[in-house]
Amino acid sequence: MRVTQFHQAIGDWSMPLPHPRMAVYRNNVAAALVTALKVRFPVTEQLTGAAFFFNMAVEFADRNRPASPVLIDYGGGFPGFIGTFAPAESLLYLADVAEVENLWWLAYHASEAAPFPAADLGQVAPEQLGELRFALHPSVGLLRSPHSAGSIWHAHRGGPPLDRIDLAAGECVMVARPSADVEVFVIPPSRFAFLMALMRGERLADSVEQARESDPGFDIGLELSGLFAAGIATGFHL
Amino acid sequence: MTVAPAIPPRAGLGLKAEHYAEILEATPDLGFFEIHAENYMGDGGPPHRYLSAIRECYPVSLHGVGLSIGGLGPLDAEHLKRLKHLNERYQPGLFSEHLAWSTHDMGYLSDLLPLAYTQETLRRVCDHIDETQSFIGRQMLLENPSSYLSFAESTLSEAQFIIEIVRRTGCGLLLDVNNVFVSARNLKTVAMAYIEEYPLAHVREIHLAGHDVTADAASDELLIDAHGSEVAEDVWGLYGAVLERTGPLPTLIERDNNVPQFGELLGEARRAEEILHRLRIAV
Repeated sequence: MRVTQFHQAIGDWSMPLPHPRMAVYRNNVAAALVTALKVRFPVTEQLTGAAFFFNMAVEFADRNRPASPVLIDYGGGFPGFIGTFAPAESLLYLADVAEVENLWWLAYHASEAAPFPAADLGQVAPEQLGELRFALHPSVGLLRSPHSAGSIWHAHRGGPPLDRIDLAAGECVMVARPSADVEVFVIPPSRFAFLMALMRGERLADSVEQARESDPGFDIGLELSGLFAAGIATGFHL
Repeated sequence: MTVAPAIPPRAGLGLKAEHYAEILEATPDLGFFEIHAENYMGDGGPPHRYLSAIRECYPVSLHGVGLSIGGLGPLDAEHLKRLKHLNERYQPGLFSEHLAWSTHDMGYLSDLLPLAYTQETLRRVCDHIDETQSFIGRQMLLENPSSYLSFAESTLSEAQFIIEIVRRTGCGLLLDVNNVFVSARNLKTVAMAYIEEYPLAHVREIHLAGHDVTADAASDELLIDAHGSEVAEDVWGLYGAVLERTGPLPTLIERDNNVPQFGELLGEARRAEEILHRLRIAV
């Protein structure tokens, strides 16, 4: 076995093996990536079954090698890949459930940030409230799905069983880890629009306006106290 | 968490997320926990919260798997910074990496890939170890690989290669006894001959793990360093023979796949502790 042969054949999985023992190294490389995806997307694996997931993960891994040895960062593109993976076409909601898991994983590893007490808003003159821009906790992730991606995810993590879920109903999902553990919430479309606008750094008044496009009765007082109760507002500025 | 507590010459276990809560609840009597550095390179969240809590109760050793000490190109400066940061934050008693490479123009190759043992690769590995030790500001331990094949280009034995690395860089060694056993069977050499040639005086830690017994495409027996089962009896035997020559050393039981209940791993750690204890009495 020559070093140059090894170098060529370890990167390109379509190349014939120059030595039968090289299979171990190639398998190890693939197995580590598939394992990283299994750890990050356990519900997706439950939905497809282990064998289907394995084939899908190997296809993804063959086309998407990690850029760094930090494998907890590997697989962010997997939900997008699932959306284009022809054998998974019939599982319409699969890519979005995978995206919920993706947001869960990002929230799990997100940096820490302390929420600020609602009382701090008392310093702001009432006429300036609409001008405020909020910082949300770094763990917050949002998804709007044409499927019940959040409920399907919950059903596989000990929530209500799938037969009580309208699979075709669209859902908005918020993932956050304001304190110890990651939580996944199904939220109304108006709150989704509100939080999306806040995350983009838009003014409170504009964010409320966007929420009211889907729900004219969107109650800003109620929503703000919810934001503080959930501990996901970590700062504000004018 | 100020001064790094030394890793005692006792048994330790690899820290697994599925065991965090149980460890903190039961605080079992163990010498140390070892972490894979790359698993703690996220920004925050439960991994760091649990590790900080466990680090308050136990000495911790830091084991990297992705630095690519044997890589052709320069070391990844960002990865070195991440390793330095973890060393500073958790003050591990020992810090180790592998005699292997994993960088490629296709990206990171998620395995510990083998080197040819030549004067040229020796220079490169030593340069990388010098750079790592000076950047992180501490001694590192280098772990011997498990081998499935050998390269025609090699002009030095693995043990000679490692002797020379230690002499030139002053690094310490992490002797993976299972790797010695697996490599010897796969390359049809003698494990005890490797141990006799190896610079045992520089070993600061031992790894023990299970391997899979399988066959290659030519139906030749092939042992794979799979970390998915109990330590094999032959490996326990080799471990005892090593300790007779070195005296008691920190000993890690590794289990990274098919991770069982914590109690089962604790049982294997107890077995290592008994061997270490008998040795102390004999001394």
